[in-house]
Amino acid sequence: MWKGYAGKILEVDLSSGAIEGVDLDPYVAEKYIGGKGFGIHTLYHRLPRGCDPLSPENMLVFATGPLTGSAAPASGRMELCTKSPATGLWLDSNAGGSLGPELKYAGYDALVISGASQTPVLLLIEDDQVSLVPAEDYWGRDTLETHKKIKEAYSSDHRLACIGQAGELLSPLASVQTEYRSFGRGGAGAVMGSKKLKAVVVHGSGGIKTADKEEFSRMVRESLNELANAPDTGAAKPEFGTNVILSLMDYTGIHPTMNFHRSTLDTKPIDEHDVRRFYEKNRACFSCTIRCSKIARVEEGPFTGAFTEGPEYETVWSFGAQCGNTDVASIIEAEHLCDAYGLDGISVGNVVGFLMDCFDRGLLTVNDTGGLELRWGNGEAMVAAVKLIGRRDGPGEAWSRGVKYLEQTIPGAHGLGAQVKGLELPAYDPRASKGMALAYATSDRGGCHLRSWPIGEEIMNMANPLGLHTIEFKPEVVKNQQDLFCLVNSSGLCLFAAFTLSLEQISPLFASLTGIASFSDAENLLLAGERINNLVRLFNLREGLTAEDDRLPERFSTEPLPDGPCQGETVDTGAMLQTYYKLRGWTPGGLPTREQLEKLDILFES
Amino acid sequence: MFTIKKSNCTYCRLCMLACTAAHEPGVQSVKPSRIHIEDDWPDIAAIQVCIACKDHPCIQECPEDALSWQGHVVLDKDTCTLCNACIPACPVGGVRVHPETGYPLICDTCSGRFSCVQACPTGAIARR
Repeated sequence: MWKGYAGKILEVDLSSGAIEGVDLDPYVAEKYIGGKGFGIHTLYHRLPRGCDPLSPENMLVFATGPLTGSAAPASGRMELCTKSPATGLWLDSNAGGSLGPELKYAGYDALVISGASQTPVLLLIEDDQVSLVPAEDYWGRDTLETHKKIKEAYSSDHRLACIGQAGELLSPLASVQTEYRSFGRGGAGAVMGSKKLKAVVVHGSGGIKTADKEEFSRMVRESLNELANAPDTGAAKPEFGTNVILSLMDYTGIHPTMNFHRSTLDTKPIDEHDVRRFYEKNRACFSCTIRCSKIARVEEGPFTGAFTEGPEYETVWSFGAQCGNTDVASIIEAEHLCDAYGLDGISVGNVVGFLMDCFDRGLLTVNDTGGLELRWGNGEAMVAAVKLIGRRDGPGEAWSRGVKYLEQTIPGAHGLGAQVKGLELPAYDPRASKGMALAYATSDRGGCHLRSWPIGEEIMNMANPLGLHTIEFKPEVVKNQQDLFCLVNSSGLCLFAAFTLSLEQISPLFASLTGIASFSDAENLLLAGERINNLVRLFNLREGLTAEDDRLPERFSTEPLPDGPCQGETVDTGAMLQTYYKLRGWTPGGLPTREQLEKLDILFES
Repeated sequence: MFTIKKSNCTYCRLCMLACTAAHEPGVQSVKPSRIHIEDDWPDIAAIQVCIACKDHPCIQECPEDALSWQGHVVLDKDTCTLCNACIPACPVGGVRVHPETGYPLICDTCSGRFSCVQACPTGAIARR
């Protein structure tokens, strides 16, 4: 009898229509935890090498963790894993909201989708009643309409993840939207679109059993107290949301502006107070006291009526500083459009900033942009560009292929892109933060800040800050955080909770909920994170990744930051990378050694 | 019984988790909760829970006299026939249904401990 886990995986083949509930393997639960771990264990063993991400061969794994749906704080999260159409490599995306808990209450730890339907379908899961429902009525609709219509047709307590027009049109920038939150990065929406799967709709009526209810309740109370009393989770994020770090990133010179050519703007940059003026109320993910989510609404000016659940720090950067734009209202509208079309706000904003860079250099003119004056800071043109990208309309068709494609196709633009492995970079300049440079270079899904976030150790660790510009201990921090974040993204917990809670506080939650004794050992849980990381590495190597890909665009080593607190800085990740490989037990060519894989129990099972 | 401030509610559902845990120790779920948050993103449509109204229409409507007032509404499971007449009788949607047993679920104040109130991080639900 499973505790913490539901104990079943739902397998759905969209080609044949076969639907089957399969027992969860106790070995996989103990070694791979859930979430990202379940995703990589499934895809590593079952995805054919070199498969086209948009072919029926690719699979989608929606996976919860053992803590998902429990009273553990900030435990409403789930992972979506697949092979990315943006990078051709591993992709996992994490989202909060409500879908993960609902899937657990319906009796499943994970949902594995393979094949492709001929016609648009919904996958409807109501406990053990699972069916494929024609979805022609929903196809072509944006994600907000789709949510509304599906909830009208079923109930407000049915939870869903769906794609918008961008996913239907197979854009590699397409997200999957779930209860107004996003599995944003890497193009999972296009994979859903290629399978003609408009939405996954879930309603469950059960619950999760607890192994040691007294101990679990005690640890939940302790962690709630910790979150309430910590400055970040108890005050800063409830008040300002993720935007709380805006002025700190500006003050330290980390916040890139104008397609990473500068770190300042000629006008006052947007800070957290500027964004907060638009907040109407707080929203929280399931079981979360942090309530970092905000509803923002525009009440005057050309974007009157625009609203979004956000805008998040990353989109305030991507549609703000990255585009030389300081008009918060236009950012809210752009984020709203991304959510509606089902687009990744980080990548789309990065693309628009890149286009403005090209426009500024005369590499693009109004003849190439459908008439849009894509000048730095032109918020209205930016919003219009997002619409073209969402509909893949006119020049938006090429734009929706991402920065890597555009720098190869726009004459003279080669080398101007800010992307790693084909995924556009987020809101931290790798020349300013040397830790972030290594984090980007070694991230398993390309340019990403959520595989590790060494900035915390560089400038926010008050006891012993490492500093931004040294390279000492950065490989250690990146490696350890990657293992920890892998574990957290396999658990159902939110990273924001894990920034405050220690692993020694988290591991008793795992153990008392599931009754799995080995989970009480924090080191053992971290080892599971390392195991997951290494299996993802094997997956990526199998798909053709080499050490040559673990690098930043050349411009960051040759183009010094011209302004701000980090003026003159460049970055070379070479030395840090070799130390990192060594710490990982990998060869100088970035290959896991047999010895390392044996230590992690990976070879024995394959 | 409660003071409800809907605009404070973030839809975290910690109240529903706490309610379930209080009545079914060891079960992690929101489904058998006696308090329900009706979502209408980006707003909260309603926080539905027994408000101990004066007339007790749920008690009046019960054809079997299975419900009685003893400081809160009490259900006699042996008498209840699962007819569900109490559910539409409640003007605030404060009668829920247990998804597995089918019995009506009505707030019993957790013997005065008000688990939902203790769990709410924003004061959306408080004791009157």
